This record gives sequence, structure tokens and C-alpha cells, in this order.
Amino acid sequence: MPGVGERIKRRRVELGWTQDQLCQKAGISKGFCSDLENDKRSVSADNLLDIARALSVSLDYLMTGKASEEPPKDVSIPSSLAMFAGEEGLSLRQTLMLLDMQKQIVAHRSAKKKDGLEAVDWQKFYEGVKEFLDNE
Amino acid sequence: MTRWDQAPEIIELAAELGVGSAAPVEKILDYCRGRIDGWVAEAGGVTDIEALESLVTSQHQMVFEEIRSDDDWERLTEVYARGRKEFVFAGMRTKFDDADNLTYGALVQRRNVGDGDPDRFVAVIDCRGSKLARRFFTRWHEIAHRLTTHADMLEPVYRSEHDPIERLMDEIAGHVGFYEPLFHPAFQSASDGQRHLTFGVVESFIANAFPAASFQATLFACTRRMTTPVVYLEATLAHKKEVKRKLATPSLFDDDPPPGELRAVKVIQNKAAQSARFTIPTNMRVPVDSVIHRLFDADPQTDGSAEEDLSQWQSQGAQP
Repeated sequence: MPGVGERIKRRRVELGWTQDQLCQKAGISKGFCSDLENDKRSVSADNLLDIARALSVSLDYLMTGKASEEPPKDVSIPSSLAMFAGEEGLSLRQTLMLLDMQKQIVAHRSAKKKDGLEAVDWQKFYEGVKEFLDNE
Repeated sequence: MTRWDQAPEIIELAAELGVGSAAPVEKILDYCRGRIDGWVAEAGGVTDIEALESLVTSQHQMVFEEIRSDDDWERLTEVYARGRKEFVFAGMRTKFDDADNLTYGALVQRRNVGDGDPDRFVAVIDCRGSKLARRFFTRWHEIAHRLTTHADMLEPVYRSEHDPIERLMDEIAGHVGFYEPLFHPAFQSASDGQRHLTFGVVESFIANAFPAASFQATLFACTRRMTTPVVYLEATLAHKKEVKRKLATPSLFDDDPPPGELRAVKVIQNKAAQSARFTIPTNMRVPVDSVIHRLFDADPQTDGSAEEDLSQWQSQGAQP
């Protein structure tokens, strides 16, 4: 199983960054970064947090390789979804599941300008995924 | 310098990628080309565009799912929603079935997937009906999203095709989808020393080197690389601006609208044309005696080629 260093390197490469770029963004030295990626040194919590921020990943992910399973503290539910969920009688868990599924669509382009999650046709989307929401 | 260089979203993306803020479009293009060059060198080269696509997508842990018939939506549901607990795939159809708001592709980040799995990202490409023509370009457009990594953002992005970032993705797709080391020799061979671009050259190029690419995407790629001035022009029946405004104003009378004239509705210059200030103003009327107008009127050209007399193309006293 890959360690912290391997995960840092993988994410850095995924972003197309050199070690220099990561060092600059995270405020660490190149030697330290190199050792860290090769799992030759341990890292303090503060430094790891800086690296996680620079790489736009969670601390959890760098340490365990898994995204945090805790629900985010502040989840903003679009008003269009809140209204639909109220009309449909969806539970909070089902509503959050619907929202999370939409957020998995990380890039979506259409011919006309849309107003993000507010403009999602939640009714239609719900019809598609309903059997899975009800069974979970 | 392009008009998109001033767009704040593009300047921000360039900063995120660490390529600086001066001439960001070109810098981002260089960044993408550089990444691909590196992978190609590591792989010992690629022989064709399919091999390149495969190499780039594997680097990005990305796979494609093409929708060629309505049955494919059920297949996606079966494979991903029932099989892999990625329920979003059961609702993907709703993103694509809006006839008033065409969608060609969407990129999905999987949740129930291992760190090193090859399919962390799934690009769903709609190839049904007329959308099939854009299959090649749409695939490279989705790759462009991954190449620039901003698709890793925590919040999803819903953009119209006029959004600067989407236009930039098109620009990247147009360059890396016609990867220079593959494009150049094929184009040389297809043009066979001709100085001017012809439809025949484009067709030959597609047939011999990029069989999956659409005619239009290839035409743009060829135009972009030509060192002689080329202006791409699309013309259709349209009205003068003041007539358009009049027609848009509600009227008490149900008058028939006046017939339109053949006008230039889309004009794209290559760099050489820009340098030579060779352009045609958008909405300019296409001269009745021009080759284009005669072609529109279905007046067949004797040998499939003709020379345009640019002196006829006058707009408010100026020539193109």
C-alpha cells in the first residue's frame, strides 16, 4: 500500500507540478520534499497540512489514502433541491445523496448558460436514480 | 495574444497551473503539450492518435463511455450504478436528453474507486444522431479538462459553451487532439507541397491519418497550422442588424418578415490572416457574384475549384 510520500508524489504528478512548484506552494525545502516523497523522512502535522492545502487534498487522504468519510460540516443545499426534496418528502440523507451525485459530475458543458446546481432539473434526475436512493 | 487572455477565469487557471499570467492561453497550451510530450517520450513514442489518446487517458485514470443508442443508458446503469454503486450514472441521461440545450459530454468523478484504479474518471460522450460528428473532438475536450486538472475542484462546474474556460478547453482539444508530431508529417503528405489549403487536402488528411476526426475539427486544425492567410467563413441567410432589431420588436401586425440575404455569420482567421489584417466582418453580406454565393445558389463549379475576386467584398467602403 502506498505511503504518504507516494500519495504526495502521485498527486503532484497528477497536477503536472515539479517538486520546485510544490515546495514553493507548500513552503518547504526541495531536499525535504524529495526525502518525503521517497518516504525517507517523517513529517510534522503542520507541514503535512500545508502540503495538503497546496495539493488541494484532505489531510485524511494524505495520511490514509482514503477521502474523509465524515460528512462535510457545512453543506449548502441549493434552494431548488431543498424545495424539490420538501415536495417529494425526501429524507435529509436522500437529499444529500442526490446532491452528492450531482457533484460527481465535475465538468458538464451545455449549449446554454445554466446557473449551476440551482438549475438542475432535480425531478428528472431523481426519477433516474430513485431506485438506488430508496434501496440504500 | 488572444481575446481570452484577458478573461479572469483563464488568468486564474494559469496561476493555478503555475505557468504565470502573461499570455495565459499560450502558456496553458504549452503546459498541456509539455505534459503530453513527457509521457510520449517515456512511452518511446506513439504511432497514431488512438495510441496517444490511450496514453493520455491512462495517465489521467480516465475512461470513456460512449452512448450510441438509448440502450447504452441502461448499460451504464447496470455497469456503474448496480455493479459499482456509482448511482449518479443512473441519472446521467437527464443531462443529455434536453433538445433545447444540447450536451455532448460530461466528466464524472467516481467515488467508490481505489487510488490507483484506471477509471477514477469516466467521460460520458453522447454519440447519438448528429452528435456523432463531434465524437472525436468531444473526447479530446474532456481530456483537456483532465489535462488542466481544474476538474479536480470540489464543486462541479456547469458552463455554457461560450464560457472562456470551455473555449479554452476547445482550443486545447484542437491542439493536442491533432498532436503536432503526428499532425505535421500527415499534413505534409496530404498537402503534397501545395501552398493553399483545399477541401481535398483536408479529406485526404482525415482518410490517411485521423479517421475518427470530423471534417470541421480537422479543417480548423489545418487552418490553424497554415502559414498562408486563411479565413474560415460560414454563411447563411440572415438580416441586417437594424432589420434584426425590428423583427425582434413585438408588432401589432402580422407582417411576413423580409427575406434574408446570404451573410457571413461565423468568421475565423488563422494567425497569418490576422497578421495580414485579412478579415471579413461578421454579418457582412456575401456578394451576389462571389464564388460562395454562386455555390449557395447551386451553380456548380466546372472543376470543383474557383478563385474568389476579393474586390467584390466591400463593407462600408472597405475591402477585406
